[in-house]
Amino acid sequence: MNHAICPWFRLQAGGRYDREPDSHSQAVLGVQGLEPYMFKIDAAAFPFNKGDLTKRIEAQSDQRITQRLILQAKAELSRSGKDGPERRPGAGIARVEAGLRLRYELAREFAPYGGIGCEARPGDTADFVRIAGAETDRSLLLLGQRTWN
Amino acid sequence: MRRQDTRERLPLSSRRLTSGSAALAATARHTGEAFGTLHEDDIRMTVSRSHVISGARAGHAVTMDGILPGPKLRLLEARTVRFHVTNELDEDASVHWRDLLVFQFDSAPSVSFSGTHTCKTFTCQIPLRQAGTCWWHSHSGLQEQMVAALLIDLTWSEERRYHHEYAILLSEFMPLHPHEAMLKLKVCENCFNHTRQTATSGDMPLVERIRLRIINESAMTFFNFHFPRVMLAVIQADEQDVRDLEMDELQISVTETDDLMVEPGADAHTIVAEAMDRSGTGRVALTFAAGEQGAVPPLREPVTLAWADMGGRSMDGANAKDVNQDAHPEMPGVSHAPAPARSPAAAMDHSLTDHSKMHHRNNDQVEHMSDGSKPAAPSAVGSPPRALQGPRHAAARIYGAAAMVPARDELATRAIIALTTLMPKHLEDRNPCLWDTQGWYGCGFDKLWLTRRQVGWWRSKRRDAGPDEPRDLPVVPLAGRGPL
Repeated sequence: MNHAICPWFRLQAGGRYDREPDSHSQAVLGVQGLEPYMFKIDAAAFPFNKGDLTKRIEAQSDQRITQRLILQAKAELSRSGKDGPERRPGAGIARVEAGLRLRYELAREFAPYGGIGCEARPGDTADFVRIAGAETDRSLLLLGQRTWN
Repeated sequence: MRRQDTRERLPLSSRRLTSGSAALAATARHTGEAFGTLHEDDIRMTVSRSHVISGARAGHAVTMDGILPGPKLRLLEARTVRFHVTNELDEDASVHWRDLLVFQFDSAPSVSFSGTHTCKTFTCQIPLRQAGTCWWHSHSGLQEQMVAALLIDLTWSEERRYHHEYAILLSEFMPLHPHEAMLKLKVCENCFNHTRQTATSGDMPLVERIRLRIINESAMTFFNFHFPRVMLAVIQADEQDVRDLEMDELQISVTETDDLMVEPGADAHTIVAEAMDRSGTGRVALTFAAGEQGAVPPLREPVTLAWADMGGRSMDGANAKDVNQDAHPEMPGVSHAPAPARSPAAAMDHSLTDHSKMHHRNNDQVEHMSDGSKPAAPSAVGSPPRALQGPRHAAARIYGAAAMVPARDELATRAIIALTTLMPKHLEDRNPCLWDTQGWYGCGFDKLWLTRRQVGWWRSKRRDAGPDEPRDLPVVPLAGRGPL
């Protein structure tokens, strides 16, 4: 459920259901809104999760280069309250992702984009990832399509 | 551009219509006794659906008596007029008398009446206690394009300071159905920011003094109105007489009316109304002969607005000057707001008019800026202190609280515009590729929001999340997530 608490922010409460790797449900409590200087903020917490409190915050900002060409900067950070070995993230900041996406709005409803991103998993999560034999940091090439109707 | 000449006996050949893509409508109407003008004390009108053509484009509109703009009403002050509005739609309709000094028959649905229901006739009797340029439009269900001028003359023989008069109605036009437009705006508030341009021409009787009655009936467009090479003398604003204020351009806000006196001379002229965002322009050619057309000024660059342009109380002087110069680099000294009055004395006159609707013009401030000197502090014009001091539910005092309860309930219900939208928002080609789909149902305050974030594999055919994949990607969350 989404409820506007002021002109710029809305409160969200609901549930989250993960199907993979094993089915798992969680409660979600979030705040979403527009900060000064047109930063969109989306923060969510997942409480009541067997003593673990996972949080995620995402910020994004659009910079118009022309009326149709728009550069979007986006950063996402997630944090876990405690280690969850089978769920992989370790306690503390589990993942940081930052990216730049350049989109061209052929129409408002149809905008292909391309971009780059990088992702890091610091702290305890990095240890888990290394034990699993994978790299903790990686770069991403992003190609996407934004659509609505 | 739509143009309706209301003179009955005007031969068609003397009119010229320049076609163009139509975004805006400016309607030049002769104010004589004419087709489409209703002037009795007992007026009957009918609301119905029509297909409207504007320039090269056409769209749906709710119209009064099948024409758009609707029939112009020409009434006399101090008389009592009866309106009978018949609704032939399959939904409620209303006619809101804009600027009329009435309360009981103000005709705002659910506030002062319950709307004109389908297949019903709503009758109201209104004593006219004012004179000037008014207008009316619908207040129901996105039917606001149903609009026309309502001109009230003084009963006593006013000394006519002019020979001819035209009412010019500034409006927006889009072929999209209003409800579809609303749906799009609910998802993407800037999705109609495109450039459109329209053109039309009218003709003019022999050149003398002309009164232009300008009405901005648009939903959300401010217009920069100018009449190149001709000074505009504002004589009335929102039916209030003002001391003649001369300017060569004015900015007219939504629902504002301004009466101007012009002496165009014998040349061909073009009256231009540019949408402030330059999404379109309306122009009317005033010519001596039907074949002529005045020079058409090109659409100017849109203006960057600063805080003071929107009625703010303080603005940095240096910024003000920058904005002013950035706005029209090709025209130094010409400001985007109404250009400086011809003389400082005239500008002072404006500050004495004490008309709150005119404060956005910031005329005295513009005067300073074009001098290059530091702008004076904007004059403190805002709502009068008593403006918001009235009783909270004034209608209850007239109709009784019990009578207003259903109307208020209805208003609360109508305010909820429930929309359903489903957006396959992102498809990202990374490994794994990411689908982010969201949809919601609800109104502005409360929504049920569904988000699905799905990870697919298309480079490798693995089904399981590998150890290098973050845990929080392969999920199907059912929680509120962000809008676009």
